[in-house]
Amino acid sequence: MKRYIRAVVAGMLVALLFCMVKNFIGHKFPNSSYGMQAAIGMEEIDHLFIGSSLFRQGIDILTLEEHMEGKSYIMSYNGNQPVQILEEMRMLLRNDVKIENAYVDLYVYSAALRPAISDTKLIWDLDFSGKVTIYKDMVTYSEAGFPEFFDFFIKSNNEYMVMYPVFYSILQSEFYKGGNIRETIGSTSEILDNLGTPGDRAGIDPVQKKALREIVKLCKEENINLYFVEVPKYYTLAETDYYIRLRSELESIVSDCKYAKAEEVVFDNENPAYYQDLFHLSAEGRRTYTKNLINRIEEIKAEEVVK
Amino acid sequence: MTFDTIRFCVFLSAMLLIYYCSPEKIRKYVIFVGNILFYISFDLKVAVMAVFTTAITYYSGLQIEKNKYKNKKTAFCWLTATVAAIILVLGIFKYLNFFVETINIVLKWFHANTSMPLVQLFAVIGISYYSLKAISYLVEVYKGNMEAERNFISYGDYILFFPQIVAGPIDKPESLISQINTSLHYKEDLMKKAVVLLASGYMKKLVIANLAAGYVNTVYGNTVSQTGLTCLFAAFLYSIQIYCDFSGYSDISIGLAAMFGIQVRNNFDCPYLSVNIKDFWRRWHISLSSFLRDYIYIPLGGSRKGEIKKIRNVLVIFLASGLWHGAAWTFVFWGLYHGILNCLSKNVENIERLKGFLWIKRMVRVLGTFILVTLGWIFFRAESFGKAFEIIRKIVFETSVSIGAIQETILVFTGDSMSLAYFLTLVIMVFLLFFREYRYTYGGLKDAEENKREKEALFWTGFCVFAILCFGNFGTQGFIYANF
Repeated sequence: MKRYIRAVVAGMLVALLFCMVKNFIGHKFPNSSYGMQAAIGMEEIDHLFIGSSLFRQGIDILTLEEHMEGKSYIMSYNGNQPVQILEEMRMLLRNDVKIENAYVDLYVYSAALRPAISDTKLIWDLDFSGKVTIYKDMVTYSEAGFPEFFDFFIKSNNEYMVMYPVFYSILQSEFYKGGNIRETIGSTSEILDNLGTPGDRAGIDPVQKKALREIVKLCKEENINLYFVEVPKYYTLAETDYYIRLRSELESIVSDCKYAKAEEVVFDNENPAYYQDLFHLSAEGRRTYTKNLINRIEEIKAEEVVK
Repeated sequence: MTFDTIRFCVFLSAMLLIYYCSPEKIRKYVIFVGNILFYISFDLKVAVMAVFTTAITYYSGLQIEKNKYKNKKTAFCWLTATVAAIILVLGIFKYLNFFVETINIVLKWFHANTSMPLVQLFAVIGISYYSLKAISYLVEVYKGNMEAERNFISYGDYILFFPQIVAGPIDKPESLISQINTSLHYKEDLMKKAVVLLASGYMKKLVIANLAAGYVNTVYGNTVSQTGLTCLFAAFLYSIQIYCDFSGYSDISIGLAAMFGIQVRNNFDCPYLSVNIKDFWRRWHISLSSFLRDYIYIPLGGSRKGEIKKIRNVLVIFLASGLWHGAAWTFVFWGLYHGILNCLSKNVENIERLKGFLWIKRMVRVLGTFILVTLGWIFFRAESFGKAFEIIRKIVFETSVSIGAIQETILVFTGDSMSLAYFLTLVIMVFLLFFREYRYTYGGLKDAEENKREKEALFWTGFCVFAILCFGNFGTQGFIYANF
């Protein structure tokens, strides 16, 4: 019987070891094309775009490289919230990454939520202290209990770790400096017009508001030029009353900052070929939007000089 | 309180502690109290009903015993009346709304303006299982294969044994009751077996079945927007899911019984390595197949009264099996489908006699059987014939294999790049499981020495514990067969 108990204990120990490797050194596994570690590897970033999947699908890295001077990088995680963006920026700075300009995604639906992780890849990429900070936020503001602890530190990314060699080569082929380089095709008006919108929310979450203010403060302290960017949503969503209301609430928090609003960038958000769904742009939409976003950023810079 | 919850772990730990701290004589009482508590954890009404059924069938068993030699007719009356009552209760709780819905459909065909209202009844967990156990007991007593149990607690432990309540196995009464009466003590070999079975069962359920369930539910929930390849993969995954879910449950059930020193018979024997449908039914849900064979097929004449009657008998037991699985016409069709395939299958012994390139022939037959079984599962899983045929139509006419189609198929897991990791993990786990089963059925472990088999079992146990902790999906799905 002892041998059977030993087998069970051995299985538990291997699982523990596996989780320790994942939590303490997983983020150091090489990844040169996607996520936080690739950004850290760059050491100096002139244009850091940091946000949700809207950035990954909405900003074209090749267009950035063509039209913007210096090194660009897109750091994105699905549903990335301001509290997480703040921690990601802190981790980059902890790792001595020099950032010249930061462009932060202003996305109402992630800012309207209590702190929670939508993309487990973020947990993988954070160092242990970053993981603890994010988890503490979840405990404090979202009443996370044992199931969340188990998901966060034990369950998340195990499949990713086992399949790491496969993933590494896939990420290498699909991403370049954090940007999606796959030729994703656009949709049709029949499909997009019939897609349901995510609906209303109670308002911007106070914890996310605070994190946005912290991001502004951090950038000031570190002499980083901060811009907020709103990726244009398909018109059926962008023109709803609740979206407009939520967005104006979000804008009021960053009213003193440089901000490229969606409607200030020349872009046809009624063209279904530019969209995969109500939020994410197609490859064609991505290129068009990025080109015009760069122009808008140049205008903002010029306005700053005049001021 | 299902087997995959923390509450159950606490309950089991407390049960084992009290059980082994008690003198052997009162251990059956400890199990009885545990059974009742386990039932109450679902619903008090369910517990009352189960105990009531137990009491009625216990009394009936005693009456059959009393009359079976002196007054055979009275004994037969007791048997018939009790079995009819059990089937009536089962019918009311499980099939009443099915009949009402069927009548409403017929009324609609005749453009009748009236329809019968559905009846709101509470769900009785395990009714399909304890009803069959009670029938099995009464028949065995009537046939004189065993004496009626005089101790109500021993009988109650047989009918309500908590590891078997939710989804079987439907054990034979003689063996279980005699163990309850005579050997409720610690048995090291059974405890070792329990450790392996529990690790393996939870791995099958929590790692493979629950992961596959997410995918299958998404595809079956919205077939319209799925590609042919996605439907094909979902059909294949459902075969894996239902096997790992149910055989995982059975492993856990047998393992739990073994922890209490009770040996329960196997319910599965590597069914997806079957060489034809007949072989499949000798390896799948063995306890139900045996029940249907012993209490329906053989009393109807079995294969003794000519080919036509044999076919009729086979179709009857498979229709009964279909209906037992669920109150819907898709289940009836599934039963009929397997009945027909069974009639067309050769006996396994005839296949084993095939010579030359046996392993190639076997592989082709195993694959063919798996495809036929998977086709049947589509009807079993789909909520309606329309949905089942829609999936088959998509598989047949809309399946294309390209990088894009494969990507789209895999993406269903999580909707993002992590889908690939889930997909590959699932593939590895399924491969390891079937590789092990293959080794036990045909490969090196089939006739290996005990020492070699034990080493393999130890390694497998350790691996399963690791897999459960790292890849288990907890609290997401109940057991499929708990619904039947």
